[in-house]
Amino acid sequence: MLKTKALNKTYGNQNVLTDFNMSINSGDIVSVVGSSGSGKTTLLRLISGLEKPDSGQIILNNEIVNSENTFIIPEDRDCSLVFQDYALFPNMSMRQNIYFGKNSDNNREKIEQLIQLTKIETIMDKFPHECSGGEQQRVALVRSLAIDPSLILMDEPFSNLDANLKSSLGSIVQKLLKKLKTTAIIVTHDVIDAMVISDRMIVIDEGEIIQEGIPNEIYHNPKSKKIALLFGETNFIPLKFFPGAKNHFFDLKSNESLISIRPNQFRIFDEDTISMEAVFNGKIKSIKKIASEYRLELICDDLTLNISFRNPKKLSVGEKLKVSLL
Amino acid sequence: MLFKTVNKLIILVCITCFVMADINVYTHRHYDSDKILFKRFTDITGIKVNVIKGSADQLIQRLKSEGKNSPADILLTVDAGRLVKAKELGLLQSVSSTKLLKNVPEIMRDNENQWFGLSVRARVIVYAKDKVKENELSTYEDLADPKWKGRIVVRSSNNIYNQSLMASLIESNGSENALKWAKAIRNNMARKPRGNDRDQARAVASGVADLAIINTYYLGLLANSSDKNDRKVAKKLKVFFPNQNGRGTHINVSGGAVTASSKNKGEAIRFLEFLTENENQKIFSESNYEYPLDYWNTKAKVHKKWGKFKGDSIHLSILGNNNADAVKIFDLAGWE
Amino acid sequence: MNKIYKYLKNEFFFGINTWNFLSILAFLFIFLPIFLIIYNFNIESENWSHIKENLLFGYVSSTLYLVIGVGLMSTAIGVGCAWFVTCYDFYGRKYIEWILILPMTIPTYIAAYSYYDILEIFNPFFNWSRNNLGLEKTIFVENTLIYLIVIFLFSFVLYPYVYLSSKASLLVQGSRAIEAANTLGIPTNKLLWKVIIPIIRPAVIAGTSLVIMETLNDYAAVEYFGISTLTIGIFRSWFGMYDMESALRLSSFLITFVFLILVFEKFNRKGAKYDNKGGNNFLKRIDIKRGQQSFVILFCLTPFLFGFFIPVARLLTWMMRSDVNLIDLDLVMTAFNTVSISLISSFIIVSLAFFMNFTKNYFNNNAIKKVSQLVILGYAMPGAIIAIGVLKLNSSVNDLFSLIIIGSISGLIFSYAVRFLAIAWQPIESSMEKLGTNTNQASRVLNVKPIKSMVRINFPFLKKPLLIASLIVFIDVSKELPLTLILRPFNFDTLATFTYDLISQAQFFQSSVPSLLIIFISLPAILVINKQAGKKV
Repeated sequence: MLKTKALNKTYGNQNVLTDFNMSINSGDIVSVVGSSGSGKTTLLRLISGLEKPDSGQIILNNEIVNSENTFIIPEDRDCSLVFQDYALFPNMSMRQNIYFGKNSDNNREKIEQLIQLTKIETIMDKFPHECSGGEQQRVALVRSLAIDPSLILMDEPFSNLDANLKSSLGSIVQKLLKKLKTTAIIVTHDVIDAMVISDRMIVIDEGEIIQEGIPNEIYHNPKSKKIALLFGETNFIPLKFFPGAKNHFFDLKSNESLISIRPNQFRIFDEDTISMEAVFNGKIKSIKKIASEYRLELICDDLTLNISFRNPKKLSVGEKLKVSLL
Repeated sequence: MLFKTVNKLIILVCITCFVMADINVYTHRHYDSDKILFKRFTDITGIKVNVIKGSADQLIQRLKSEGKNSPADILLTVDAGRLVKAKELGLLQSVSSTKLLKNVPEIMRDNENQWFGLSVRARVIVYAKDKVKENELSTYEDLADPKWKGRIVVRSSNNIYNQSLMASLIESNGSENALKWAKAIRNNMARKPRGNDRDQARAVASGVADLAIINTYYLGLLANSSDKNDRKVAKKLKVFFPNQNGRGTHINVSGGAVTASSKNKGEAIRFLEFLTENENQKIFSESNYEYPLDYWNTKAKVHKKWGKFKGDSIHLSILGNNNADAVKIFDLAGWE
Repeated sequence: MNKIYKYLKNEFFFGINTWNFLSILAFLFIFLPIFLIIYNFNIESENWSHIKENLLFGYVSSTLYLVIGVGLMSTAIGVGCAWFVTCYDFYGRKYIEWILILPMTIPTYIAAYSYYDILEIFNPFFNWSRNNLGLEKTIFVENTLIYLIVIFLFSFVLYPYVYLSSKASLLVQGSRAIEAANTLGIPTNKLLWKVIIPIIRPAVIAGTSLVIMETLNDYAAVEYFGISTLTIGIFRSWFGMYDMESALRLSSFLITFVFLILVFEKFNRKGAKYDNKGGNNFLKRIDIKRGQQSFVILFCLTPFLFGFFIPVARLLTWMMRSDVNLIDLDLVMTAFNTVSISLISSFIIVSLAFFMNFTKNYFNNNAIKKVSQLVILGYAMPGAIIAIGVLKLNSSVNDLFSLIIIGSISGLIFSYAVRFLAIAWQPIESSMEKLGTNTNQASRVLNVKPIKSMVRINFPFLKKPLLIASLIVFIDVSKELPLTLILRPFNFDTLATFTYDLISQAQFFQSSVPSLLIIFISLPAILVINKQAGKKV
């Protein structure tokens, strides 16, 4: 339902998007992940029409909304955008905010349902500055859904919220979108958010797509060091240690194929069980306790592994240790 | 949208101007006498007089920018120089009126009948009776003498009356002498030029200086003011008409002209003629203490008290022709 | 080339819609007279070398004396009063706080003529000095005295610009700084110089630059007191030598002055952007001893005394002695004209500024953003120069379409817009910045029409700055003289032109009545502004 073809956008001398091609199916919840400055927000602004690309096409619902000689203004695009700072209208109550959009008055029944689903009935008569971030976030979402868009764009929807709220809101949003069968693009720098909410994930860097697919797949099979690191701390281990492993990638810098293994994917090697797997034999360099987790640095020849255990045996620095994969 | 409405409004205004047999006057004269005169004109002829008051220079610029679409019929100024300038810019038109030719002396009207003087003012010396004896005074030129050092006040050379006086001096004595004169006068001044003619009179009355160069009617206004301080000032001063043994005292006119754009030429001429008629000339003298066009025959009481005088006989258009030079000479002399 | 094409394509061809189009059109239309002035800066005429050799230095130096003197003095008065009034508690503070803005109602030309005979007080001294010290010294002393008097006069009338802006800044930002400093035990003197002044500096400079623009704008007062400023020079070459080109060249010097001030202000402001957050807790004022109290009260009352009380008292006594009939039809008509044209102009100008600012913000229009920085030029140039520009525009339009735009009420309002759009612009623009661009973009993606966003979001949000802008424009238009004088329709007088007319006939007694009316018309507006400015956002 949404397609971008060779989108280019520069600010001054900086390329924000380069030949950007993307295609999204109806009903999908797609997350766009990348570090800050990777062009995510610009992408949303281009799709919604708040900005114009230097070249390229945007096709929404089989209609060209942006090309060399067409430009459909944001007011006429069948999509809506939830801003990172929510951008609620400061002089209006929450209800007035929600019922501001086009045709929202004809949508009353559905909107009231949305209000109930998101549990914001009680704040309807308050003003934005009287409400918490989470409440504002839900109002902003409902306000955007109120115009019944076929595509909704969300810019870092959870970045201003604390961790608790994040996960609960994440699932609320996901259920809601699925229920309404609304296609959504969610831009975030936090892959965990993205994994919770989305069906499909697009990773972009410096204005280009570097990997796309189902979130879990990307998690397990990142295509580059950078992507792997997006999901948090990891160990890059040359492929030669695991001959025959499926999920590996070729790193241009070190000129070898690597496998990404998370710190929690290790276990202490059990001498009793005989197995074919690779065993890393090393010396503990340091131990740190973080919450209920123990983090070790293990030096095995020229590899340094970062490992985390939940319930380790008594270990001490300098001790020798064998670990294998879970 | 906005533009259209604005246009419509303007057109409307223009149309109203054309349709009615009013005359539209741009005037620099801001005297009560004019109110009386305009009302009298309307009473007698039934022609309404619409007025925009402003400085003559700005009104001329406005006329120029309005070109042939200008609503103005008449331009009134307080000196001949501006009328000459307006003529040069092609803003005026010739009129033929035997009445005007008869009522306005030849030196006070344009040789192509584009403008006409309406009232006369003389630029004279007023002096403090207790400090200066009448026989010490003689000519404008004499004021350059070192004996007057620190005793003279005159207003700024931004003022057209001073510029016209200078223009006449250039004509009579040549530019070089005029510059010498201006430098000497500047040296003899008791203070830097400031204020208007009335303030110069006040300065003399209060002892700041012994004499001043001002226009006569200012003294008339002071003498008849409702403020008793003004009347006191007038009492301390006496008028002296310079250059009586030579070319005569510098005179200028407040004058009028029919604009090139005038759509009511007949009424406009009628208006000028009206202003030169005897009874109306009296109003200039009685209400504003200006001299009538035949200043030698003046009947006004103030004028009689000052005495008769001989006016300079150069053609007044010369004042306009020399105006820019006059300003430059003032600049060179450091006369602010 | 490609870049320019890209820029144009993005900013204009795609962005073009009725809103943008109308805004840019309105802007171009309003900017035309200014453009015509600037366009003519380069034409050299025969008189220019004469002016350059003999006059330019004098014009520039006397302008500099005046600008520096008035700038310093009005800043000292304005900041001093603002500091005392916001940070100290003393007897009658509440009343003093608002009477200090009253001088704002008095146009400089009226203030000047209410002091027209002030130099006569010194006549006995001059007479003595001439006999004892000699002519040269006396003239020198008198000249210096004239400069001082004019500087005092302007400062006492114009300081409220500095007072208001520094007071607002002190209230918003100073209070936190003062509290922080108090807890650290910094002495008051040090606090003022080391903490307060640097914090409120941008606000002070903004106020001072307005004072300087007003000073440069004045013609009547400096003419009367015989100070040959650039503005005088402009008129002298335009009218004395009929040399409009030289006049415009001279005005380019004036513009340079203003431009430098503006750049200085911008530069200054960059370092310390207004921060309107916080500062909600009211300042605990400093108590002072009796002896100091009387000093503070005297300090604050002096500018009020010279800038408002004496002029108004003089006008009132003149009014008593004049034979003007207060219900005179001319006078009533004139007052009515003044109020109605000021109201209409203020409405139109503020609506225009609002419309253009909305378009700029809503469509995130870079073109308007860029050109809108030129709007300030209208206010920076003396009114009389704007009049030249409007006349030039008039003749061009006349040549092309055989149509005259001046001499009608709409023409007059147009020229007011050229001059005063800037003062309506600034409060609206800065509040619009507070609203942020996301708010309007949020309404765009909700697929509503721009008009709905304008009416339901932007207008309610900007009510207060719109009100303040309207009042300021109202006051300025009702005082306006040079444009009205030259561009007005037939038989049309405002109180300002009426006053001017009477003053030029030296009918001081009669002129007191319209002058007082000008002052009293702007009084309520000033009071509302003060009340609004005192409130926290």
